[in-house]
Amino acid sequence: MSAESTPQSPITIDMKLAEYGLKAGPETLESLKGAVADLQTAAKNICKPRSYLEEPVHALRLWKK
Amino acid sequence: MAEPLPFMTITALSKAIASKALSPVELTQTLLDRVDQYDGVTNAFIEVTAELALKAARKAESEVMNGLSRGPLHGIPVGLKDIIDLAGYRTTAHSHQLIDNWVKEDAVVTAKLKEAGAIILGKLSTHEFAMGGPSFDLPFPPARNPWNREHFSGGSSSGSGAAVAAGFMPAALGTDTGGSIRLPAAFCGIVGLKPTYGLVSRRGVLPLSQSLDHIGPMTWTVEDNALLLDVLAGHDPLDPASADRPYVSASAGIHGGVKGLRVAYLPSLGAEAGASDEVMKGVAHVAETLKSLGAIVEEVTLPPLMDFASCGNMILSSEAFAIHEPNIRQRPEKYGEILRDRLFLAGFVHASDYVHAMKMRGELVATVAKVMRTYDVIICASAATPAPKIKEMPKFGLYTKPPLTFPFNVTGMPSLSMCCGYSASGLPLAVQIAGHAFEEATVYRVAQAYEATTTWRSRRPDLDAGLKALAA
Repeated sequence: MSAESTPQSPITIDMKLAEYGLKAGPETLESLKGAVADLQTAAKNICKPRSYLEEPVHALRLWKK
Repeated sequence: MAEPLPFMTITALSKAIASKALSPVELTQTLLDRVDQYDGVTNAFIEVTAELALKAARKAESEVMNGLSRGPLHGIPVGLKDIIDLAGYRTTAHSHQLIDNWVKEDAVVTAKLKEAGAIILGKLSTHEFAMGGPSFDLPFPPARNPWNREHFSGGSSSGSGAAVAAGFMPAALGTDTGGSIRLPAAFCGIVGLKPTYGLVSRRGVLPLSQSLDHIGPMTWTVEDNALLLDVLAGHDPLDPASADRPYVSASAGIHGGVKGLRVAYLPSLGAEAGASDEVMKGVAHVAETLKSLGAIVEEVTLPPLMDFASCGNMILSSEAFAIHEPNIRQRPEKYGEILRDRLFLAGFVHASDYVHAMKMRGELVATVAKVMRTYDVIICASAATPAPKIKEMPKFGLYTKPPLTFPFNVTGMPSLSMCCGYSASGLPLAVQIAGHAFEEATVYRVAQAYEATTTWRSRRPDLDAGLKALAA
């Protein structure tokens, strides 16, 4: 698994930059690498096996009619 | 009128206007003059709507003189974060992307303010699209902290926080997706409320993250904040997130005190974020004060801040990317560097991450709700430190140094930030008070009880010192 991707697929910073037609200087590239690694850590933190019954869309149903 | 006009509260101004001792025109002109003199210190404004404001002030004056009262905001100047629509003006989001975005209709909150007789004084600085940072490559300069212009005013409602603290207006509207009302409130030493998700309509406000966005009031005092919320709250059938339920006035019982209320004290949130001693002591003092006023205060813990941050950031990034993807692909050069790179990062979030984050959100909501079965409010730090220097703000950091405000965006609970002292360097410190969904009135009661015991509201930033620093 690349340090530049989340576990699901190897999307690299270079691939994304090319996809968007962007160019990044060495300093920006370095900080992006660090940020993508942080994102990857966060993704690992949230991606756990959960029951199908724990559906996501009603998390904010805070009120009742 | 003991206080100079720019430092008077809405409560006091409203009485003076209703009794015809003060003209809304005189008030508006005084504030416009103050903005003209001092806004170079704060850069709080993107546009001063002087003509519109004076026209509205003359109308308010005429109505008052003819015995018509529109309530406590009648004749009161307010400002709008520049992602909130004001008919006939641009909503720029502080961005080159929307530099010519002239709008024809008021946002729902703008219309409600006008109907209540409030006077729109201007459009206020924001972080680009409420997601960038304090940037220097945008069409307008970033807002500066009026307590020390070398410091960050907080964001993304950066101009709203600065303008209220500077005495340019007694109230402003902000928006809050991860802390964007409460952080500028904390760093500028004012009161900011993120209401319950669904309480205030978001129609006519540029979205950042639909399931996390909130709009709320920013004021100098707690009571003023509640008065503003009473005007803003209410069901909007055209906002799909709007709650269709009766609204209970947030200001009516504000002086009810805290005797017997159960307060969950959460020092672990600040400790996790490495909060400074000054912040930790400030919040501890709030807990002690509430106890001395008769509240039952007990220490609690919640899931780790990083759980809220991981979950909230995945949702925010995904929803923001869905909005901005066409522009990031087609005209990325129109974004400032900070937002462009943050959006670029958001492109790395997988669809499955988003689904997991939404499921985790449900778990976090349930866990916090379980804790809240025993308590009326939670108190904790609003920010780990006083305002940092503006030039030291990192481009990335939401995942590694998340804001302490984020948990209550994830849960949708109401949360208020208010001043709880000052650092040795003279910058404000802040406490956060969160409550049950749709129980803003309890949050305000606690905040009001604490505010009434302090002298923090008697200090204001020294803008003349700011002018000298600017000239140096």
